[in-house]
Amino acid sequence: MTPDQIKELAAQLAVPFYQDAAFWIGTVIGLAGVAFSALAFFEAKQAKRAAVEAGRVVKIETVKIELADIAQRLDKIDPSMDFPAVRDLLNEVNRKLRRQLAPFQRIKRYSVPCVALQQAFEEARAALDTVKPADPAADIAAIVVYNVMEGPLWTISSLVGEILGLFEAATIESPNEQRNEQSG
Amino acid sequence: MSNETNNLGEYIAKLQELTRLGDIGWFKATPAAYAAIRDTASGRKRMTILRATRTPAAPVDKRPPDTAALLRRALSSPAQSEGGEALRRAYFLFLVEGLGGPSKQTEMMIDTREKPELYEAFERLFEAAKSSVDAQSARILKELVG
Repeated sequence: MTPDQIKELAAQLAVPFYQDAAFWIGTVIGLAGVAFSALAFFEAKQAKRAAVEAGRVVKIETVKIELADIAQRLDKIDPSMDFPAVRDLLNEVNRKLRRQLAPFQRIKRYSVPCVALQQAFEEARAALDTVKPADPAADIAAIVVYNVMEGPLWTISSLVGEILGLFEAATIESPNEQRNEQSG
Repeated sequence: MSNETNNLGEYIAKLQELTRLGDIGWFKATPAAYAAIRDTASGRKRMTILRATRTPAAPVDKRPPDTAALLRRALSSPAQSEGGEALRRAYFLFLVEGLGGPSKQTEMMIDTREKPELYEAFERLFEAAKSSVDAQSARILKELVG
């Protein structure tokens, strides 16, 4: 390398890198990449939240339909229902309610009526025990079963109605309101 | 108390007396009910007396749940819970069915929730029926042990 060539190289190196257009082109492209990645991240997060919200709404709608059906069944108790019929109704309703409400019991707004519902079932079970035939030959008049069980089943029906109302309110409220309540 | 209610009370007291004398043989129909069959001028009838407990629907507490309180409530029986005794009210149902036809016909029913003035009379009759069944059980056990 000749001294002239060395001088020319030294002159080129003496120019600051930020005065080079190529540096700025690369920097702008890099920053644009980071910005688009961040946008994509936030969009994906929002999409995930929307998907979870949609899943929750579908689940709540399913539970609402199930609860309305249970409330209707409880209202249909009539004086001709004997002990086995009322026992089967109570068992079926208890099983369905526990299955449907299990995912919501830890959410603050549902926990109190769920505990009340559990207690109402215990009371209804105790009332049912008072009309359980002492032996297979003995029977108890359906009208007696009706008179004993009508009150406890009414209590359960009322609590189911209250929980149904809470689910209906949940579909009206914004997701932010619900998140605030769940975290609060 | 009206004359009719007085009459009902007297008849219930007579049933209690007949039970005490052993003229009415009660049997256990359910864990909380006793029944007896008796022949009358208008045919064979079955009477049932049942003791049940009513718990008025407690108002749902809107406050945030207290985990410790919920646990205590779950571990204690309803009767032991705070105010449990005050909320509970026993009542009696007394039913008479006619056994003459092909199927049982309800002839009358008295509910002490509607006639609270008869509560004590039915309580005495219920206790008499219970004693009668206990006496029968004791006789059977006595026979078994020779």
